[in-house]
Amino acid sequence: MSKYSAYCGKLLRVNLTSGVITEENLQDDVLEKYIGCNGLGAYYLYKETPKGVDPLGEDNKLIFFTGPLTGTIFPSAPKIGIFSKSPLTNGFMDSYAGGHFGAELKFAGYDGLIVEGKSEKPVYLWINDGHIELCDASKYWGKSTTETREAIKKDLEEPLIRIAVIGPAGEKLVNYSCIMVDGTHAAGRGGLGAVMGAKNLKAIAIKGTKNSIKVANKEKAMEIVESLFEEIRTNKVLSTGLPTYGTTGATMANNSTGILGTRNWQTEVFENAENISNVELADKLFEKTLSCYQCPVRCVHYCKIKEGKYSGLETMKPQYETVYSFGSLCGISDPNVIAKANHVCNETGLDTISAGVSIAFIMECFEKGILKEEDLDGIKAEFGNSDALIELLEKVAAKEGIGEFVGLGTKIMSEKLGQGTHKFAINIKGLELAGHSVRGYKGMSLGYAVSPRGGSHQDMRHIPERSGQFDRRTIKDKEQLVHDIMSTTVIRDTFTYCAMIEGNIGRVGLSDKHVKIINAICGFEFDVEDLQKIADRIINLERCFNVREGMDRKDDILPERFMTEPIPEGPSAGMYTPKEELDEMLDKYYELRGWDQNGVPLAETIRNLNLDDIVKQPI
Amino acid sequence: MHSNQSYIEVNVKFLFGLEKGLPLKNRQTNIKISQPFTVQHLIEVLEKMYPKLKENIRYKGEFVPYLNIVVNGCEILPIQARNKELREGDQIVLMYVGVGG
Ligand code: SF4
Repeated sequence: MSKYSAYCGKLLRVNLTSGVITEENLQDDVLEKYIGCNGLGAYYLYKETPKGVDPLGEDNKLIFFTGPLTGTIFPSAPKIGIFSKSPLTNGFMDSYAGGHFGAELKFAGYDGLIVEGKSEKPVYLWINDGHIELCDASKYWGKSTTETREAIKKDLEEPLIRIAVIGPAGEKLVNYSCIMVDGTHAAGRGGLGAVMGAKNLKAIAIKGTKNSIKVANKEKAMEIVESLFEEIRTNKVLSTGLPTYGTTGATMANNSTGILGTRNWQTEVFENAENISNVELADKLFEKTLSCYQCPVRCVHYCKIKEGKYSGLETMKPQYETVYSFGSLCGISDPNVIAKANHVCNETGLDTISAGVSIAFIMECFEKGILKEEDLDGIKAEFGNSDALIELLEKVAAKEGIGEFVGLGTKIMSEKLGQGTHKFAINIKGLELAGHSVRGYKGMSLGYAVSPRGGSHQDMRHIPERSGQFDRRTIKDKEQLVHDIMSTTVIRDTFTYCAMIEGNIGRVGLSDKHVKIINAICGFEFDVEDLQKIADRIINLERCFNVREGMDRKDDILPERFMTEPIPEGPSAGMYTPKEELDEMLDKYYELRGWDQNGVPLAETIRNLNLDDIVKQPI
Repeated sequence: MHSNQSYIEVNVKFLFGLEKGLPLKNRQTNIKISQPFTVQHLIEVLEKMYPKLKENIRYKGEFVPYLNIVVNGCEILPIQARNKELREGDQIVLMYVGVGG
């Protein structure tokens, strides 16, 4: 038992090679240094994997962690974080999913789960409160995520359990396969589905009925929770916008400022954006609203395609990132096709961002004559060709024909193709870019470059620049902005509250609000300085992981298109981030972080952050 | 610059739910405003034209902090709106920030 509240105080370790399952106590001194989810994931991954570990090998680990807020009365904090070395980036990867899986794991008695080794045959893990079993999953292998989930529930006669599962794409080790959680959410990024597939682990099913989670200071916690509920109730974005449209409001917002990735980022104005706007998607597709555990926002939607080729299909309504990746980026302006593409990804277990960006890359290769129909199994991969999009996706998931190549991701594809294709391979550190412009936000361009994951919009956030609070057109002081925003996102993912409410807690820099939350919920006695040190520790540990795996300044680079081709048209015309600007920002950022000119944390930085117990020099 | 003009015409778009309850076509309107040609004045005119807009952009009388005003693709905060000058043909977008995954 931990002396701190809101934890179960235990993690579950499952060795798939030996079949041995053990419980371990979480140590209080580790919680004091890393708090939870993101922090603990980084700590265990660094400590327990050897340098140069093969992402798809037996020695890589797949680590699941909840945060201290998960499963408590705190609203909108349902996330489960999943950590591993990524087969797509060969670096540190964390990906988070909402739903009810995280809370259920805590109600089953565990803060986290470490999966190691590799099973000889397909298995699934059944966590039935304190009773844990590895069960044969041979008959589910090859099945879609929904088929598997439903079959497991039926076979266990447990209709209400929560399940994380991989689809055929994960089984076939597609580089950007994902882990689907509860059927409604994806731990999408970085190919964690392939890590799970390489371990022959098809699913994790959980039933947790022992909700004995207590908060440290009930009165203070209630005060915070009540005021947060009130803020959510009176905030139009949270109380009306997100429940009506999900995150798709960003499509028109980005297009109106000329920063909506279009046709593989050849331009950032999509002439058909109105057709895939939030209003169009809601009108055409919306069926009902769903919610994660204890979340009043309800930004997740179920939908039904009512017309056209895919009419009758009931599925999850796409969110903004998917509208960007399969819509404007592939030149597609039919919401029904975007919903179908989203469905294919959810069922086969693919990351919609990487899949869309990879197909947009193929489409540009086709446009430039680098790839022809005969190279693409007869597919005419023109921008705007809906059938080509769906066909390519299905081939990626099945790792069939040209799909095997597209499933490698843009970095490897461009390395194999040559012919200057690296200029428009839209990835950072191998991770395909999310739907927030590099060229249109100077701060984002630095944030993306130094993000441990690469092309993720969840380490650096665009909103402080998009709102006009910080001038998106200048590099001035952006090193400080990136430092401050990344401190809050790492704490967000460590406490585990949802990105949708991050604005209510604080987006730029840590504050008393963060401190009050964690102290009231867990009983720590942190001040802002303590919390800043913890954020710095986690960020540096992730950096050390990447350095250990061979990354440094050379990898803090942007796609060449964004450093050499200004946005050609629209309200942001002329914007880009030349290499000299990026270098200037990197120099300042490294200095601020206590890293050397090559982006490697200094020994003194490691010592000051008390990381020298696990980070050995030279890294 | 505009001192001789008695009014200018601008285009205003409303996005991400801000259009809720407003009698608009395609979530936008062309509007003529008299002097002063500032964003602040434009919003005052819009609030008079569409009383419901007040509910969407203010809370307890103050602009909500997540209101985003975009003039020809450049973002400004409501607090900077007071003096931001407008010209004939400008395109203004009123929307909420805080969206986008
Ligand atoms: S805001 Fe949306 S994703 Fe976040 S917890 Fe609520 S329902 Fe889940």
